[in-house]
Amino acid sequence: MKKIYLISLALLFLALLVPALIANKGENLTLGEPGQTQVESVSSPSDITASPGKPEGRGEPESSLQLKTASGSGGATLPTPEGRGKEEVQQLKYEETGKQLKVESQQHKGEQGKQGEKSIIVMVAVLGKDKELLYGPKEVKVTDKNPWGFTALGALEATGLPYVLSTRFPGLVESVAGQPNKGTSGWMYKVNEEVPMVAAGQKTLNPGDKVIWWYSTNIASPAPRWEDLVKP
Amino acid sequence: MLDRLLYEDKGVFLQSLHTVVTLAYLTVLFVLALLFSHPLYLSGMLIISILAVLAAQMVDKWEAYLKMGLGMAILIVGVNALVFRTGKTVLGLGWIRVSLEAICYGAAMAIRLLGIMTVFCLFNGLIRPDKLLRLFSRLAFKSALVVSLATRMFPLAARDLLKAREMLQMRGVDYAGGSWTERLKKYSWLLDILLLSSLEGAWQVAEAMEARAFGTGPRSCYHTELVRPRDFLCLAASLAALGLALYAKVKGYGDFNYYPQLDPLLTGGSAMTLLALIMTSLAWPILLSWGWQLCPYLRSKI
Repeated sequence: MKKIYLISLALLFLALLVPALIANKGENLTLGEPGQTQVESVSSPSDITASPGKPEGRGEPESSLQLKTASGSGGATLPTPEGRGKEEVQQLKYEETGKQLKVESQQHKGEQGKQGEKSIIVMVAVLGKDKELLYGPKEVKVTDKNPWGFTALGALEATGLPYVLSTRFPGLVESVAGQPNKGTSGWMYKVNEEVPMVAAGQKTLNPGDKVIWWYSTNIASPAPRWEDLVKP
Repeated sequence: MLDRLLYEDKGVFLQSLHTVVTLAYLTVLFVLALLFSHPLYLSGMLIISILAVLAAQMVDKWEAYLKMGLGMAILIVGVNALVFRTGKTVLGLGWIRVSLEAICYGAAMAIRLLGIMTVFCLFNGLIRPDKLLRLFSRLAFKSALVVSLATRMFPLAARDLLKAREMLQMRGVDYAGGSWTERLKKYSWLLDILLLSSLEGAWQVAEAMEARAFGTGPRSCYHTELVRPRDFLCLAASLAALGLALYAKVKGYGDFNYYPQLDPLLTGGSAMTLLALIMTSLAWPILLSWGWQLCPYLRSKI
């Protein structure tokens, strides 16, 4: 048997297994935009509903964020949305400033503020299955380092919420924050009160656009409106 | 080249299995190659298929498939890496934006393709077409006859064409010489000969069918294919592998997310244990094959 076939076959195995092994070893080899929310303001720890982390990995459903208050009153454990991502437990440091808590991810700290990178600011809100707010509504910065570019999917990436894309249908969002599509229920998005007829990765955003990602349980039910979300 | 793609009796263990068992084993390999997306599971399926090729002494036949499959595999990996830009781990290759995830996904699809092609290679090399058709002839003998005639048509036509070409060459026809139109004319003679030989072949088949009283009354059939202990062992192993694979699929062990970022490869003890069990079950006929070759006692018992 010709050696060239064996070498090609071995290379194919290596191309399959080595990237997966490298990815398994750690985050420090990730060269793309990590997709972490770096500074986020919440009114109290109980308002935190989703972990700012990398997209979901496989693991046991029980995962938590270990939180420490700056006053040193001990750690608190907050449940993350049901899903896969045990390895994504992050140490979050809270600095209390009045009634506001500043949550700062220690991972990927200092990635922002690089000179020469293009970015746009858009408004994003993410609503879960029970119409609960998983994120926002607030501004996010979508940079050109974002793997999806200045698109609706890029805005979702910029929120830092964990999400899963379909491997069968590229661009289809299968799950956000541990809430997967099921039957006719699933994730939809709208931009400036219009539901685009293209995949989220193809919908280009302009600065100031208002993007809503919501879990639709019924195609006939009306989509959430931005004004209702920003009402006090 | 064509002979390498067709069935050839080598008297190996896997060819001696009952047609239903061989078919079941290959079907399980085929289904599992499609079912799983986890790199280790996909690699495991391909490794088992390659071991089966070695056990069946079909390396020369597999080489022809591999030649074709590797070309397509390289194409898949290359095009996927260059076109599909959804991975998060970007490799710095100058102006080209290639992600690690796209390379890994392309390689996974290529491994799956090679696995499926290897199963088809095994199918062609292990199952005698006549036996397979005989298996279905009880259910739909007319359809089986049509399929039998159709599958024979292409190899027979190729063989007739080769013979006719050699015959004309021996008579002095130089296919390499002359202008383009002259060569076309020479080849057109071959088509005349091929048409005549095909008509003659059809006539002979019709005579043979008539001599066997085809269509005169209810069809008789008799069964000669033996069912031996080896068949039960291999069928049980195939069904066990299928059951374990379905369990792994339900539990999500065989799944793997490639985008936007690769999942961890080693996901836990259960997934790896299950993979080991599936591979052992699938390797069982191969181990029996080697035992059958090396141990006369085992050979006499199974």
